[in-house]
Amino acid sequence: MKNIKPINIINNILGIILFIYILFPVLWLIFSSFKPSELLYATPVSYFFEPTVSGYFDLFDDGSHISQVTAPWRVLIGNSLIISLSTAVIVVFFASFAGYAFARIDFPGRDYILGGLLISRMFQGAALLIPTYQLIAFLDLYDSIIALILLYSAFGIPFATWICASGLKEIPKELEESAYVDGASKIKTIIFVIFPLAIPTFVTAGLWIFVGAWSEFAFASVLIDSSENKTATIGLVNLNDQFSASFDKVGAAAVLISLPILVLFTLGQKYFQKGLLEGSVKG
Amino acid sequence: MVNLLKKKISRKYYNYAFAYTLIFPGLIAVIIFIAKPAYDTFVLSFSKFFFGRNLGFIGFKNFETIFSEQLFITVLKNSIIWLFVGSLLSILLGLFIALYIAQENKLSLLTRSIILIPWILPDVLTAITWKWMLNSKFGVINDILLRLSIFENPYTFLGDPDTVIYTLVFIVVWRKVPLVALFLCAAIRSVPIEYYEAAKIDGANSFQKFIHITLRHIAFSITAITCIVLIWISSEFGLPWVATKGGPMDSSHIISTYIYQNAFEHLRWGVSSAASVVNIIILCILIISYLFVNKKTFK
Repeated sequence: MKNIKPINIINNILGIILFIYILFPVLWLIFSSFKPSELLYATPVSYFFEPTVSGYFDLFDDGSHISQVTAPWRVLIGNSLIISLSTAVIVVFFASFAGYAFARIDFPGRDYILGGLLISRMFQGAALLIPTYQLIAFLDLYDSIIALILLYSAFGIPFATWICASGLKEIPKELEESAYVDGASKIKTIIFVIFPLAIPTFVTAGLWIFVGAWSEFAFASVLIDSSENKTATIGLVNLNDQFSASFDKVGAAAVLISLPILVLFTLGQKYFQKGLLEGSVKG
Repeated sequence: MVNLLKKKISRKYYNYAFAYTLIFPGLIAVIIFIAKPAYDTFVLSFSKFFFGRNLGFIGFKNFETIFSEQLFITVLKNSIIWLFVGSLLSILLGLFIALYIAQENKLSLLTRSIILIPWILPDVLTAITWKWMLNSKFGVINDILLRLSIFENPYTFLGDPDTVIYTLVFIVVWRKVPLVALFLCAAIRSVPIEYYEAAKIDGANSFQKFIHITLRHIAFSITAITCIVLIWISSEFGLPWVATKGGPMDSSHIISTYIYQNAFEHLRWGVSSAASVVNIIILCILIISYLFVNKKTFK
């Protein structure tokens, strides 16, 4: 029998504590979303019950009073999907070409422009809310999801460009040169020779942008007014602010919002970590 | 010969034009939606506002107003706690976790694969979940602490004006620590194994190995991630806003929630813009120090 060292026991106990610290809130949220609402507000907290999915059903029942608090939940999820997907596609499209320019062409001012882009990434937040609100009103886009798509795209482009530039740098130059020798045009070479090799990079950028747009709160809360144009994140906060909404519905909404992110995260774990390390080391 | 040279030069300019065309759309978007609003914030902070209507230039009046407000002093105090206690805890706890997950055992590997979850979930969702868990009547944390007899009475974590900011710091640390841990884990795992073997031959104990090899090797990474965390924690808004809305009794406002409340609930745009400028100045100091460190670290 292998003898067990005390240091290993301590090590494993630490690991379990760490595991609980990270996952417990998420698990508790999921757990609570299946609790019957009368037990949610019982003291002391009950840990054993018959799970129910009524919170989830109420969210999708257009006649329930939840649908009068926020818009019907399917509308909110739909808005969020449209916004996040369009943002990701737009950003990756422009960032891939811009990333190519930064990675491969030595044009005057390149380093300054790239530096400026990176710094601009740090300036996003509450400080820009009023001017952005004015700008969106001036463009006559107030209360429109197009405003959010435009804004999120602008916010996402610096980071995505950086990721694309560092990914494209790793593709050997010789490939490109041999394509020219074969007589392909520059733009054709980029699209058909270079970009297919950089797909993992684009996926990384796209995932990050999607998750960012999906989670955004400050601008969506200020720029959207009517309930049928709101995003799911805003719907969740509105629901949480209502005293009449019991936590099983809030929990159900929260679980539904995290679901796409957790699925993407599970499928694209390696891309997330790649983006995280590349994106934060240098910017 | 001359022709060839001409062709080469025109090719060079063609390349430049091509590059500028490729970066143009992104650049324009950033100028319109980030640079221009940042500039506007400065202009607005020197303007008088009446319910969203701009009544012209009034000099430093808005800044005088905010700095004479007792609330703004609380906001600055809270922001400092938020920023520095939050970052310090994230780094210390992050380093500790990084040392753990850098090991090669099953539990470490498993933890490494889930550690990013707090970080990728929306910040408002984090706020809602923790608010629910910390509830004084129905919250699971109070329940566990009462059952274990650590507390005698339930504690209103988000309702005590003296400590609410620390509760918020605790929540934001939960959200930011995975990033720090993963980043430092990568740094720790890049330390050449030969160093440890050499130290072993020299008879060093684990603590000496940690101080003289690990810590020395990842010192630059720690500095870099400190700056990044400072910037990210300073720009956090959704989490504190959804958790407390600055309450109870305005005791947990940080600068971003103060900006938001003044702009969109009290409609004091001048005051809000002045606070935004203060926020941008703090950010600039952080960013400049970051760039400075970055240059030293990666050159």
